Amino acid sequence: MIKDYIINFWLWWYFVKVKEIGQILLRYWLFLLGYLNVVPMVKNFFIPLYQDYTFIGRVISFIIRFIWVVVGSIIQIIATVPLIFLFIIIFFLPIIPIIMILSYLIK
Amino acid sequence: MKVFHGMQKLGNYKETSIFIDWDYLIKDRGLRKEKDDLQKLFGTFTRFMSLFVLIVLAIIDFLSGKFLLWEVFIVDRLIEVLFWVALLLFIYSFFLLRDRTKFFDTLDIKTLDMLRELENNKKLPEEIELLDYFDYDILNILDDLVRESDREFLSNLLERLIVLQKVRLLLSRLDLTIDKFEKIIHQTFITINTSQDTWLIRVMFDSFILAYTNGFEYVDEQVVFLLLCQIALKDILMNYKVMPNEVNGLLLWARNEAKKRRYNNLWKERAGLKPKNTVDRGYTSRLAVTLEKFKRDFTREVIEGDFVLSIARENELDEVVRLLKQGEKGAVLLIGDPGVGKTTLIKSLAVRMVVEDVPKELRDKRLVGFDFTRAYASSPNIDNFKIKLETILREVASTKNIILVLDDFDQLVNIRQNFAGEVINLIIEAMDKYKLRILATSTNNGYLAHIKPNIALVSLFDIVNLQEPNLEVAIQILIDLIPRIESKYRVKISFDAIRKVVQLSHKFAFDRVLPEKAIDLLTEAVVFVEEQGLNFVSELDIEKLVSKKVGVSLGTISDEESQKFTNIEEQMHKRVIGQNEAISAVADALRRSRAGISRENRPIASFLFFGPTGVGKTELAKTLAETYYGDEKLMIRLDMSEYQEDENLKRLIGYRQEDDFYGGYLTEAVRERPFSLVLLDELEKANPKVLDIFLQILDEGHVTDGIGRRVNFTNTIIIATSNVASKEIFELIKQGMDYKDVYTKVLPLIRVLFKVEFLNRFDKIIMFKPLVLPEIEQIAALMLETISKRLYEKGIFMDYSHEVLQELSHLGYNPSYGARELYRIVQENIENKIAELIVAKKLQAGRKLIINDINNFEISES
Repeated sequence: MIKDYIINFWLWWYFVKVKEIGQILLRYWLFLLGYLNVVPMVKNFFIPLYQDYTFIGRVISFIIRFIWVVVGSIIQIIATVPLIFLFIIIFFLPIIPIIMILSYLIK
Repeated sequence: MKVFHGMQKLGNYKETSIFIDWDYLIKDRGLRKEKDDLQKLFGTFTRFMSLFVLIVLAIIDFLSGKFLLWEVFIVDRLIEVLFWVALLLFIYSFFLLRDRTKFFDTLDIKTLDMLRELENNKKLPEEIELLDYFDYDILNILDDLVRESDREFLSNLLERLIVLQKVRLLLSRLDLTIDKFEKIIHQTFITINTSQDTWLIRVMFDSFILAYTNGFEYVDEQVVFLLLCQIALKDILMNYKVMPNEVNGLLLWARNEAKKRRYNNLWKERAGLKPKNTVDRGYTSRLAVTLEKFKRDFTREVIEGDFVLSIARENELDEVVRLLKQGEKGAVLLIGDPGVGKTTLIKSLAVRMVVEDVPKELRDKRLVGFDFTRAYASSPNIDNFKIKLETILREVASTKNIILVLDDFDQLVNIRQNFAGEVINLIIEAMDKYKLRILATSTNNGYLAHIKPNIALVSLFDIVNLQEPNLEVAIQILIDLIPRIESKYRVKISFDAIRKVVQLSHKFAFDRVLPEKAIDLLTEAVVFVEEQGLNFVSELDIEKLVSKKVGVSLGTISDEESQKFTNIEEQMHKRVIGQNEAISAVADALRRSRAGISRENRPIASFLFFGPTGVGKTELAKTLAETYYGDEKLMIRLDMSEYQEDENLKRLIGYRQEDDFYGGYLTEAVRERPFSLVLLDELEKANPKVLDIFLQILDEGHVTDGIGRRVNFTNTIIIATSNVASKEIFELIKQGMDYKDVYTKVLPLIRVLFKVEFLNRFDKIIMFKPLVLPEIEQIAALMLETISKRLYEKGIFMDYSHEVLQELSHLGYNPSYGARELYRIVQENIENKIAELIVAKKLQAGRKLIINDINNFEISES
């Protein structure tokens, strides 16, 4: 009974639910990363766009890639903060009410 | 009483030991489900109450007008404690109402996919706990059923399985209703041992292996059900027209569905990330301007939702992926007959590329087809086309993110016959220079005619052959298409109809392949049914349609037809007089064929008729054509005396001379009319090399003609005739020897003339006896009957006396020519005289002709 209703709850929360929500958040993060296309831009930073190997082509490509990477990274970082915050809340979610209740009882 | 506890080893998979933890399985003593239900009920109550409290607290907070949410963190009053308790219970309710397929009381969620991955990396663990891979529903059922010695274990298991939705889906695919299956379960209990001792461990271990080896994620209810269909219910299911092959086909389908679901989830996740334009994600590829005009973008089609997966083509697809991945020599040539599923395989590859179930070298690539017929049509001349082709190949090389699909590659290299060499050189050069990744397709014939002769071209490609799928796979492919066809034509299609479509199309459309020919036949049947104002396609409709198309009756033998086949001897005797032995041998062969118990890949029947001339050999052949195929004109007659030289073989099977093809007399006739009787007259006169071709036809039921087409003979009846040993037969019969003895005596004469292996391939070698006088008389009667019928059509009645028959038979009886002489006599003495009377207007409509004897013709008013 104790295992079924109490121990299993904690096992479930930390081994299944937190993992599941964590995976969902990670998927959002990865989707955004894919959507902003920052990694391929970094990987090909010095390769000109559309294989335009002329000087002008190289310069324009560098500028575009640079702006792309900077802007994309900023958006990615801005989006990362709430995701981490959300994950922390989820992680401690069942503990917080217990602490609160205990603190009242102790008082 | 058997006690289940502790760990028990059930068997091995390769090097790995498979264990079961009985304590885990039966720890709740059959109450697993009940306990879960109780938790769910408690969970619903908790959620409802906690939500109610939270809402009430929010309202109180709202009415107090403070809206200070953070105040809850200062727990001074009971109201704040209440908030936290409600919140805790609300969270707890999610645990109680959790998805139990993902978590019951093990920490690890293990899937068979993970296990397979381990095996691929050669890291399969030494021990496996079987139940880790069983899904929730099936575990619950087993937990419920496992108890001390249960005699009805198997039937109980089946009862519990068919309640589940996924199993019901399988039942409908086997065309079994729940009622029917209840009967099967009942029959199982009666006919086989269903005890737990026999089945429990076997079911668990075997379903684990079945699920693992067939690509399932878990051992679920479908796997267990299919396993039981394969082992325990096999014989009983056959009584319900469910053959083992169909169960295997269904397993394949279930496996494909599992894969489709996985790909669909991946597609949802990844299709959105694919570039919207034509470049790769790093923008390093160049635009392929010319190709854009003549392209078919397979990956784009998948991204936009056209999701097609080949069924049972994993091996070929894996092979293509492996070869394309190599890079250096990344050209693959897919060879398969039209309709075998080449394009579907390409689409499946595109699906795998989009969901990224391919090596990383192929992930950020596009699969683009070049529509060269459109490019050719828009080119003013061949040089312009060549420039376009060259540009496109160069573009593909420079973009670096395109795998070029050249559908019907054989047609591309032969787009203008005179320029074939130049086009080929252009392609070889480009492939050599640019190291292109190409996926080309070709038909078998196209490959042999246009690609294979050029060794340099062939050496550029790795070849993957696509074989025609077997019948069970074809059935599953059709099942997969059914929803689309049903919604398009607004009809329902029964499972039996699908099965029939595949069987019959396979049997009657030889120069095409599955699954396309079955799909076409089904579509035709749907239209056929629609035209009749009906909205349900049954097995019978398919049979009717095919019978109509091929002119031969098919399907379950109807009462009328059964009568016809029982009395077939009588019918043949109406036209052929005497020759009882020959007729019964032929009738037996026909019945065997119609009942479906003769060998499949051979002609329906084959006979060698020998004996004197004019005794009914050809007549029996004609009668057979009429009885079996419905028309005596459905007979292909070859005079084998015209094939006395080696080179005559060419005339029989056709030949190619320079660029022209001359069809063979035999092969073309059979291709045009596959349901015919082939009569080979005077076989002994043919050249032995010509006869060799019939060795293959008689044995395998097909022959390859002069340009490599396979001509099918499985729906023909082959009859060869010979006049060998006529004299000997006549002499021996005259001496009073009976049929059997004469046969034994003259057979060696036949064996001298033909090779033994050739003679052995005939179903029966039948001897025809010389006709005796009473038989000649009967033939004379038949002839006079025919004349009488013809006169009757002109309004003239005819009667004749027995004396006439006697006279005619005496005059016409010639042992060396059989009934042939009789024809001449009847012509001279009867037909000519009647003709004279008609011309002289003595015999007119409404009159009656009485023939008393051949010199006494009497005319009277009728």
